[in-house]
Amino acid sequence: MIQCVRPPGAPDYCSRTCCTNTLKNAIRLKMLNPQCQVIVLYKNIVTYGFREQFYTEARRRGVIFMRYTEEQPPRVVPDNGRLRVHVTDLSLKRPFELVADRVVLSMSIAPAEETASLARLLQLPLSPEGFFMEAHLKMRPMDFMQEGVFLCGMAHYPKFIEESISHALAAAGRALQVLSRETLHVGGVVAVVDPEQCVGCLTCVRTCPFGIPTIRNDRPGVGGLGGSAYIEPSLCQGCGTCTAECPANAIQLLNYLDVQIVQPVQGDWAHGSHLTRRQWSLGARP
Amino acid sequence: MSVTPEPDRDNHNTFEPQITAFYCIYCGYMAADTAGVLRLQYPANVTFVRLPCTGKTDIRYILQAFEQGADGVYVVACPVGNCHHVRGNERGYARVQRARQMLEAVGIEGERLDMFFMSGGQGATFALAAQQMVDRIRRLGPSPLKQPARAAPEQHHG
Ligand code: SF4
Ligand code: SF4
Ligand code: FES
Repeated sequence: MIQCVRPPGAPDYCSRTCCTNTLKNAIRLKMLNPQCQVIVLYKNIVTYGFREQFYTEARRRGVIFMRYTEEQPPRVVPDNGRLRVHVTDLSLKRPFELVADRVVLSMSIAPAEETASLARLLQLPLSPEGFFMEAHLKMRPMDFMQEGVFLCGMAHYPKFIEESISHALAAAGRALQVLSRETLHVGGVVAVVDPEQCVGCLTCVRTCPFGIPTIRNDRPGVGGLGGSAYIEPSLCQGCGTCTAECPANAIQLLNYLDVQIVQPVQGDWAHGSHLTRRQWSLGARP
Repeated sequence: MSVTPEPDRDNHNTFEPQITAFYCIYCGYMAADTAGVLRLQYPANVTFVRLPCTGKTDIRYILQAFEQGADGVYVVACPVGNCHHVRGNERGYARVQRARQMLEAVGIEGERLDMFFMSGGQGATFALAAQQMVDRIRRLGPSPLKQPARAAPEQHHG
């Protein structure tokens, strides 16, 4: 059994589950036929947590482990219907030739083919490895930054079945939080477009880090223009990026309205001592 | 304090700069909080304006602060790549850069505007940023906008 087999161009990360599966299969073979010789060629055995017991168990049952290095990967050569495996053992520093009836390869687990297109469709972020990326590694592993979309299992990264199940339960719990309510209360800090001012320039659509604004035909823009931007309040994360970027100044962020942030000091106000706290913060002095 | 002769806009020894700082409610606010918890001292010249994310720093806000009498303005954001709104701080940074060019164009030193990135735990960095800005503005002197208008017959407000 050869671990960490990586054809050129294949993903270069540890798939977490293969070592344990290899050991499980090795133990099963030894249980069925103790005479069967099982050799595992590996770079590093990753049997984390209590799975380490499988490693101990496999060794106890006589599975042989040989460590190879990246520089000298094993070579498999066909020979009259059988296979010869050439490998250099790292500890003995000696080449071996093994004759095998079966060669079992552990290859990395790649994200599902449609992941990228689905991510584009739903505007979801992907990790550098091409799996879906959660909102927060520790705090929100089943959420996306986008509201109302959840993830679980191998879409996230290679997982064991019990990990997938816990993840799925967590995701279902989060989804229920939404589904179990008659009405949803969203945070008050959301961006609102004034269609009367929107020129439909798409700036907000492009700059929103979450891809929330859309241009809607049914909302005429400035001067009865074809369409204007719409920001779904239950999806908006309230970062305000679009409000600061909109060239027409058509978007306001509730709770952080322009008038709340900058209160122009004008006329007599500038001479009086009636400055508001915010005007004071922005540098105005009586 | 070493006194830099140039540019010299009178009485910079007694000059107390007015500085406006915009910070985001995540790392910026947390850093301020940490600074407070650690009982760190930083100059009282800085007044703060809270934003949900520095992605909200509108160029207008920055310019308005200068217009209303701030001698310096700075923005405190989450570390790059750690913005709680993904890229808000990067967009904010781009805007700070643009605002700098605008300031330069009208004869206000670009140094008067700056942006700092820090995580919520970096209270000392927060205090240091405030101190740095105050020192820098003290060296630069009062905002050129506060100088009596040379040619204009009457002063305008707002
Ligand atoms: S950026 Fe402003 S003007 Fe442009 S589409 Fe969005 S809301 Fe409309
Ligand atoms: S406030 Fe932020 S999250 Fe909401 S629509 Fe604007 S850019 Fe997107
Ligand atoms: S949330 Fe802090 S800079 Fe965006």
